[in-house]
Amino acid sequence: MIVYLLKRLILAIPTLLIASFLIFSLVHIAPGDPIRVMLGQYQDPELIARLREAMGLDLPFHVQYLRWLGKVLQGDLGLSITVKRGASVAGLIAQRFSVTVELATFSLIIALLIAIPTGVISALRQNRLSDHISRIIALAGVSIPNFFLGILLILFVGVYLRQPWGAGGYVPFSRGLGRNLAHMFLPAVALGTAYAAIIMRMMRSAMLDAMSQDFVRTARAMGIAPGDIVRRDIVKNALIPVVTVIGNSIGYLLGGSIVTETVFRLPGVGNLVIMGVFRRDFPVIQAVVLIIVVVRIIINLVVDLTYGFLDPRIRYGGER
Amino acid sequence: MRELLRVEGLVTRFYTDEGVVKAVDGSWFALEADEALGVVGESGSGKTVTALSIMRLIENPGRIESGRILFRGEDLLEKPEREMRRIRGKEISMVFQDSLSSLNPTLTIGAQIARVLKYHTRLTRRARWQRAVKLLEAVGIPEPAKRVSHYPHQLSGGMRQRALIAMAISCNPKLLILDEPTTALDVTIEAQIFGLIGELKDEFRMGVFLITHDLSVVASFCQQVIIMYAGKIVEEADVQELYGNPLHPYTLGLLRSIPPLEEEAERLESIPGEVPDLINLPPGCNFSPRCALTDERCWHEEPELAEVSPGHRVACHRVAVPVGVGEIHG
Repeated sequence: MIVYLLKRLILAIPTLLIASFLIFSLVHIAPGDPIRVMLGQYQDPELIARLREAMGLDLPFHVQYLRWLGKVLQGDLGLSITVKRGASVAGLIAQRFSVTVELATFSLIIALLIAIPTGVISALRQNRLSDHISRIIALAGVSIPNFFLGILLILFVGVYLRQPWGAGGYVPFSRGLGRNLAHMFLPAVALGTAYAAIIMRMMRSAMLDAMSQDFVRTARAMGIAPGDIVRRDIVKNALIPVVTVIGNSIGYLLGGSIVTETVFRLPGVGNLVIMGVFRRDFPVIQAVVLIIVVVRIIINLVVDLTYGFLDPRIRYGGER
Repeated sequence: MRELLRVEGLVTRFYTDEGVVKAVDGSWFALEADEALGVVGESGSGKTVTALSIMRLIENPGRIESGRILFRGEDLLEKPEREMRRIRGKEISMVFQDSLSSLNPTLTIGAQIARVLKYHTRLTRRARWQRAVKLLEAVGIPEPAKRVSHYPHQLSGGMRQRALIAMAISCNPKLLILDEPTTALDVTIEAQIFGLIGELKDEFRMGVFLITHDLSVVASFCQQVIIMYAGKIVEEADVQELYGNPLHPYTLGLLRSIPPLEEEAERLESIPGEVPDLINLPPGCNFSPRCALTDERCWHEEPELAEVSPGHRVACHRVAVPVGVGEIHG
């Protein structure tokens, strides 16, 4: 187990190096320049050159990359250029990280609450009306982009129903958990439904697969009650592949939060990276994307470990 | 001897998109308490469907169309599902062929046995677990106290089959159905398993319904034999009679395809042709396309299962039925 964990952590190193290189390259290849954004209408060539030199933007590409990488390895994510000039990027991320984590967690909970029961019911009532209805809803859920759903929700709840919590914006925990959660609800729904649809479809097919297994027939032949068979034979075995999908969705949730946070004006990490992109704030974009990569690697690892917990065949892999 | 099971005119069909599969097409047979009945036939001959029909485990698109399944005098086809659940595992139990796929990979052996006990006994949780250990010991699993908390994949094929048998006999069933319980195992383990089943059968006085395609297993283990072909019983007799005086051409073919031990066979005999499509069965006798003895009648008229001597029934036009011995039904 510990050996496995170490192996996975060592394997993560080349992944991170390649990711860091790609992130850095993409940011620098993309057109636009933070200095020009910073100076606005006063575009003095001499001033531009001086600022470029001061920030090291005139150095050759590989030197810039290695400098950045060296600092990142020491835990220094650099200073923001345009989003909040001179502020440490690490500090900016730290301020906003909790918002994104809250959004992602809330969305995931909503997704699971919708997906697991509907997936189970859909499979148990295969090809009946309730199955068809949930599959149509699932298809709609996957197809509607979450930013669009977000706009619709704001229009309906915020504008039409005139609910203060339905118009976007963020209320910190310090001003009451209830209000905080109320404001988080619509963004979490907008973000969660698409994943609910993906997880539900996976749950349904994993259930159908488990239902056709021989051990289900054995359990029936032993007179086990149907509810018990659903719980311990079907759902328990169906969850194994679904956990992988759930794990992957957490990664997507972090990515999806970028758009959702913008639609709902939530001051999260996704919102930060959008600002970074608009204002060509290289250190901010690089740091945020890198952190998303790190989080995904960690989540994948956690998912793999959960897998072993659910499936004894993996846990005791070597032993017979 | 008491009659344990009587199947009368069982018809089970599957309504697939390709057509109606006549999996079991009018079966009549009976099984005495503490008797072992061997059911022999190729794949698709209806052996397993017969067993699943007895347990009322036929799933969509399959349906039991008609017939009666009398278990200790009561028709199982009349029972509500709830009542059937009480019977399954307690009165009638079944061991399936592939022990790896037939056990839940996410539950320990002990948990799976204890679960059966939970539904059919009033034992406490602790007592159920202890009984699971005892059962594993009874089926010859070494270190039962340790094995009980193992998962199926941690046991060998033979051990898993024993565990499956332990689960099936956990509530002392009156009838044990075995669906090719040793196909996945090697010959020495197979002998051990049948030795074990024989002991358990005598100890618990169970009737055994053994599905197999291996005639030699039947010879050593069963008292009564049914030969099935394309959903129909073609011959039934006690073991001595069937091996000493086989009548149906299909039975003869099956017996000839067993390699002889003494003399060196140049070539093993086989039955020409293959099992017919159960959706488009030939008119007349199902076996006629593969039979060497056919005449005009075989191609048009379905032979009825008729008693040729006491206890020996055969469904073939070419077998002379003694005058005075009528058909047993219809």
